[in-house]
This record gives sequence, C-alpha cells and structure tokens, in this order.
Amino acid sequence: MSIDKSLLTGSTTTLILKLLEEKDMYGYEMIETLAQKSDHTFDLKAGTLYPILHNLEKKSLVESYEKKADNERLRKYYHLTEKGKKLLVEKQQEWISFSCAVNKILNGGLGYATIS
Amino acid sequence: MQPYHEIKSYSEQVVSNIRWKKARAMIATEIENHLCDQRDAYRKLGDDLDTATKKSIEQMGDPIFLGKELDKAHRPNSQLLSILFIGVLLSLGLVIQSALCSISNTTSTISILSYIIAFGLCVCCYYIDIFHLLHHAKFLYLFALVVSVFALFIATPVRGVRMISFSGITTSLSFLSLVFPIIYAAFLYSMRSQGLRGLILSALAYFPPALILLAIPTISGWILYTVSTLILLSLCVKHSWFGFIKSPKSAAALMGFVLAVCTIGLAVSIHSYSTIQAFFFPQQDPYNGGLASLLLQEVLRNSVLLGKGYPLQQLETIATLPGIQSNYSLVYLIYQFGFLAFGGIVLLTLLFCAWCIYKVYKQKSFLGALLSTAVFMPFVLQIFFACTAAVGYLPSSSFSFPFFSYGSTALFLNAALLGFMLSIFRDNEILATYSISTH
Repeated sequence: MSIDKSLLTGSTTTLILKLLEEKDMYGYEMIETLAQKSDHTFDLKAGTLYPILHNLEKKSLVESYEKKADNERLRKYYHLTEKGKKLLVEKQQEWISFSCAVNKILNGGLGYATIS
Repeated sequence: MQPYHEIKSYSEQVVSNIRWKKARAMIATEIENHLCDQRDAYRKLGDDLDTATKKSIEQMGDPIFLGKELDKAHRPNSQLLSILFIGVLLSLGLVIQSALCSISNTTSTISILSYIIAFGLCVCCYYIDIFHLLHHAKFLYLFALVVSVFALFIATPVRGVRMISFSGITTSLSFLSLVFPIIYAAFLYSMRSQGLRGLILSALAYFPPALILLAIPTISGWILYTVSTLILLSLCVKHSWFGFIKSPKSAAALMGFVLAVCTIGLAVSIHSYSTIQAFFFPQQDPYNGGLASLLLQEVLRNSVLLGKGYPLQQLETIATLPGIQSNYSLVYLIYQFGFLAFGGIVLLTLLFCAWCIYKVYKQKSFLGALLSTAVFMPFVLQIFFACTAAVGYLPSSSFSFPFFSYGSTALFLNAALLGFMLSIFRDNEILATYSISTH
C-alpha cells in the first residue's frame, strides 16, 4: 500500500537515527536497509537523505568518517553520537505518545490496548 | 556523454550551489560514490550502463534543490570576532610598548607598522589552506628540520644564544620552538593508522627538533616544545590515532620515549644548575647571575596594588632594569600602574586562553583538536613563563608575554600561529572527515 509522503516527513530523522543505532552506515546502505526493513514502504530518495544527514552532523547528532570499501571506493560512514542516542530516545517516546493519541481518536476515543 | 561523466556533471551541478568552496570536494565525492553504488545495483538487476546511470541520477533528484539544501548545512564557522579580539590584544601591546619606549629613550624597532604587519599575518594565516599543508606533512617536517639546521650553521652566538641577522633584523633561533609543535602535529597526522610503527616513528620524530633547540641553546624553548609534544603524543595514543587501542608494546614504546625525554631533562637541569641557583639564591652571586634577580625583587617590593610604585634605591629608574622591554615588560606594567593593571592584562589573555580551550574541546574532529592544541600550548606556556618571571617565581626565559613585549619575531610568529589556529576552528567541520574512524 502506498502511503502519503507527508506522513514520512516528520519521522525521517527518527528512522535514520534508529538505523544508525544498530551500526555505522553509509548513505546508500541506509536507503537500502530502510527500504528492505519497511517492505519498500519507506523508499527514501538520496536527495532527501543527504541534507538530513549533513544537518544531523552539523548538530553533532551523528559524526562521519571515511573508509575504503573492497572495491576501493571511498565511503563516508555515519556514526550515532551520545547526543544522537539521547535524541533518539526522546523521538521514540514522542512517537509512541503521538501514535497512541492518533489511535485513540481513530478508535473512537478508546485506548489501543482496550480494543478487542 | 559517457556514463561516469554524467555522474561527475551531476555532482558538479550540486556542489556549484554550495557557497562554502572548501566543503565542495568532500560532498562531491560522497554524491559520486552514492551514484556509483546505485548504478551498480541497477546493473545487477539487468540494466545496461547508460540506463543504470540515468536511473541512479533520477533517483537522486533535482541537483539544484539538493545543492541548495546542502548549502544550508555547510557554512564555515566564521572567527572574525576572535580576529578582532586579537586586534584588541595587539593594540594594547602597542600602547604598552610605546610607553616603554618613551621612558627608556631607546630607538625601538617596534612600531605601529610591526603591529599592522602582525595583524595582517594573522588574517593571512586565517585564510590559509590547512589541507595543502596536511597533504605534505612529512615533507613539511623534513623541510623545517633542514631549514633549522641550516640556520644553526649560519647563526652567530650572542650572549650564549644563536641568532641570525637578516636585512638588519636580528632574530633568536629560540623562536623555532613556537613552530616545532605544529610541525610535529603535522607529522603525527601523517602517521595515522600506522600502528606500532607509527607510534615509534612519532616518538623518534620528537628528537631532531629537541636536539636543535638544545644546540641553540634554549632551555625554555626545549621545555615548551617537549611539554607540547608530550601532550600531543598522549592525545594520539588516547584517541587510537595510530590504529590500536591499547597494547603492551605501545605502552613499552611510550614508556621508553618518556624515559628518554626525562634523561634529556635531567641533563638539561644539571647544565642549567648555575642559572637556577643564581635566580633562587641571588645573594650568593650578587654581581653577576644574581644581579637581575636582586633588582627585580627590589622593583616588586616597591610596587603597589594600584598606581605607580615607591621610588627605587638600587635602580635610577625602572627603565634601567635589565630586559625591561622584553622579558620584564610586565614588570614595568606592575611598577608603573600596580599589580591590578598586571592582573587585568593577564586576565584578559587568560580569558582568550579559556575560550581557546573551549573551542579545542568542542572540535568535532580529533585532527582539529590536535592541530589547535599544537598552536595553543606554546601560546599558553609563553604566558606562563612570562608571568612567573614577572612576579619573580622563575628565571626569565627566551619568551616574553605574547603581543606585549619587545621583539618583532615573537609578535609576527604569535599572530600568524593564532591566525592559523582560527583557520582550524573555521574549518572544523571539514577536518572531521580527515579524521580516522576509531569505532
């Protein structure tokens, strides 16, 4: 099912931070992993990813380093910093509260857990 | 158009929208590599080279939009306020030097022009391209050694210290100790990921400049260089710059290096014993080595908290104190205006130092921290030497208080090095990609 792109806009940063929590990745690897894990629900464009990554780096939420791949191609890996980890925890909690509230409304004011 | 040229052309379009030129190469490489990865993936799915290239470029999106978005994230950290602050320090230095010249009735080479040149050097070094220097780090180290050795040969000893004269300007070679730490830091950069070999070579690289400084001879210069290099090398080991975290071999290599440095230190202490003794026990030799120390003590005894000190007995005027324009220029400040004026100048400089420490700590890259420490440490140590000498706690050294003491070489070198440090702070972000992964 295709979803409205505007739903993704606000949560892209959280998704990127979550990917980097697992391991250091380079840009192309992030796009591929995100697509695979979401069954291609989140097909992020490279033109969207890089400005986000570079802004995260500017805010010291991620840091980068270069590493040569087996094919001698120089890749820029991104690593989640401690500051980035803290933001991820906050963003996750924010998302849980937000999705619970949306579910409550969609289910006629009932909490998600109470639906049978 | 050839497929790779299409990729190159696309990345050039992207980066042409980024105003900070130094960031362009780094971003272009990342984008080109991404497009190559994407193209290879499409080819694996069965597309030919041309189609795969076109599809990967389409996937990336509009190059102008991407360039403008990246432009928002990449701005140099302008240090113009810091340059202005250095300008204020230089102006204060000029005022004090002018006052010293007027009381001592000497024709000084220090003029407004010297201070303008110093400020110009600071600005020029602020715009220096650090990356060119780093690419030739080993060459830079060897070049500095060759030039220094050559200078040693052509220099003539003046009061026990080798000096060179050029176009009527005489310069002490002891100022090489301000340059050696940054050269050493560049050498350390070239040793990244070299393992134990890198550590051993870095330790060995300490010795040639150290021996040159001892041949000049400048003990304070040697201390300044040694303390700076020990800190730089320790930082490298701590941050796994050589590519290993901890190992018995690296610990042994480091211990061997520290022992060698301590041995030289012991030899230097024995050699300088008479100077140290004359300073701390001036009464034992009141007419030679202890004279300056006795006169200094008299000036300090007659100085007050605020305002001009009491009349001196052994000295006709404060201007007749040996080294009043160089090593003891701060003593003039203490005597003429009181300890509070001295405290104010020191406080102002210390505030600048505290700000530098903060900036070094906030460096995104280890390389940025390493290079800025190499400039910052000699600056701080000069202040330490000058202040302790002014209040009579340590003998006077080859170094005077930066910007406030007589001597064009010190003035030019300090201004240029601080400009260089500010350029490191400005390019902090790009230096981050020059650092190695330790994750």
